[in-house]
Amino acid sequence: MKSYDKTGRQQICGGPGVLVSRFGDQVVLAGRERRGRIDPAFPVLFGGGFVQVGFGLVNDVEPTVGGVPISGKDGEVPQIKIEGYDSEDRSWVMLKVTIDPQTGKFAKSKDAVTVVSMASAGEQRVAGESDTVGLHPLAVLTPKRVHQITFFNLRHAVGYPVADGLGNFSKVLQHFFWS
Amino acid sequence: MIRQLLASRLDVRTTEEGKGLSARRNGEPSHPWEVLNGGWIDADFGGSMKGGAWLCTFRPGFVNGIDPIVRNSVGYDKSTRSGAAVASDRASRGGAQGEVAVVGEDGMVITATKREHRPLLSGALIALDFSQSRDWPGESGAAVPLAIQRYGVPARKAAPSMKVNADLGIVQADAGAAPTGLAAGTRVAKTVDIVLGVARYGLQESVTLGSLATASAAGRLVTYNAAFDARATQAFGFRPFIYQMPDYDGWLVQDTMMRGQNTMVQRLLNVAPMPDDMIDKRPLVRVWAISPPVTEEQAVDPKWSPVVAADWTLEFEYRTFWNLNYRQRVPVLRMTPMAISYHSGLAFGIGDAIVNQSMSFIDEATQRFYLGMTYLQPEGKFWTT
Repeated sequence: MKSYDKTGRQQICGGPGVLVSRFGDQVVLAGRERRGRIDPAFPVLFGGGFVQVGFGLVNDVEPTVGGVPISGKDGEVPQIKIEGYDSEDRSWVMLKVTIDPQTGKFAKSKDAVTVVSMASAGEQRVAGESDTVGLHPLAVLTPKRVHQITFFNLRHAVGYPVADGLGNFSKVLQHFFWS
Repeated sequence: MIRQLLASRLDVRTTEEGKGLSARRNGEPSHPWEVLNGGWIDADFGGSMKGGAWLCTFRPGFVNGIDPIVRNSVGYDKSTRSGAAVASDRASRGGAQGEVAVVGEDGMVITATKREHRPLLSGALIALDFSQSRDWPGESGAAVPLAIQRYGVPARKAAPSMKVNADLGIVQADAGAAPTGLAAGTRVAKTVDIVLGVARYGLQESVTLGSLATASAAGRLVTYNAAFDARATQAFGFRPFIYQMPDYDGWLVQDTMMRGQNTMVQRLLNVAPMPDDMIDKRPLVRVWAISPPVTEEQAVDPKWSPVVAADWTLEFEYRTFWNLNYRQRVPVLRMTPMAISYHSGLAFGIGDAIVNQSMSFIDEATQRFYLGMTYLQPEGKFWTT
């Protein structure tokens, strides 16, 4: 924070978060502007054994729970009951999409894009995913707090990977979510 | 005289060296993987950290919704004794020589010499190991970044100054220059990279050329052994993990063949001389430790080498801000390695050789598959979520 210029006078240097401006003999020091909290998409609130998930979009579709949009409708905000915790005291809030495997688009059924609570999750690949169901973590709950995972609106796509060197496609549909 | 203009956001500390200014952290938005500095702990952490170590942990981050395991984190346990009892015990054993380093308010005892693999959500602590750091500033290689230069670390070490010796008619090193290449009052820095790794599925493969006698018995001259590289399952159960690396950039681009590791560039060019370590990596943060000003005595002492201590300053250079998704490029294959051979004892074993020859096309297809998998190096990809 301190160094000397060529004439040997003490010179003030800026550093992380500190801005130094010189106006003639005057030196003005300014701290970094206070920024607000990050407002994520799908903000997860947690209490009383239930979670509530704020507004967010997947492929421009807002998820529903029991037919009600997650951000609420007519003053009613859907609550999702927590399924429980795993051996490391973790619980997951997952975005769950159901697709029509013929078209690759979201199914037309009620709650085709929804939010669910899960007491466990796979590691290399999310457990419970299948040809028609894709899952993406929104937040991890520990008994004391919420760890938000997803911060942005999402896109979703599916595809069959090539499984061998001969160009044959795997029979298991893969789901991809990205921001 | 420093007048504090924005009192709510600046801290002015008066130290022996002068006034220190720092902006308060509480205005900055927090993000996953943010380093939470645990401070310097004065205890014997073993190895190069006998005098103490900087401890840190992270605001939890997730890969596919899973918090990573922190490799070789500092061990700690719930103490059954009070903090005062542990402290007096430690004092009676001669200060920092005991295993116990710190007793927290909640009775958690940090055990300095114990190393554990702990999940990040449990608040695992890393003892930062700067012992294998490059020299900053160095005479060659990358220059010190501007943000670190602002602390007073020069961009590069001064090249040895040369002068003309008129008597001998040659150019020789200036004997009057500081042998360390550092001026008194400047600072030096050390770094360590914190890296996220995922051990991917892959194959280990070995080829054995048998003798003719073995070949007639086993039906093949060449024997392949292929097996899944199971280190990931054994150690961490396919879970991502966090570990320290001396120089991630060196691994990425520089020639580190002398260290027995391939760079990523060598692997992309397919000239890697060593088998890959089968870990997909993503840098999280580079931790900079910045020394106090170099004294006059240190600058002229050719044997002086800086060691990170409590009076150094830590600065964090983030490379990952958001949580991650990870997927390996090929779907997971669950196959048992096959080595097909047929043992019947027909015609004293000669029949076996014939039958095995006739079956060898199946064998060969299997082997080709395994070899293909081995050279494919199915590396995974990280993306933000």
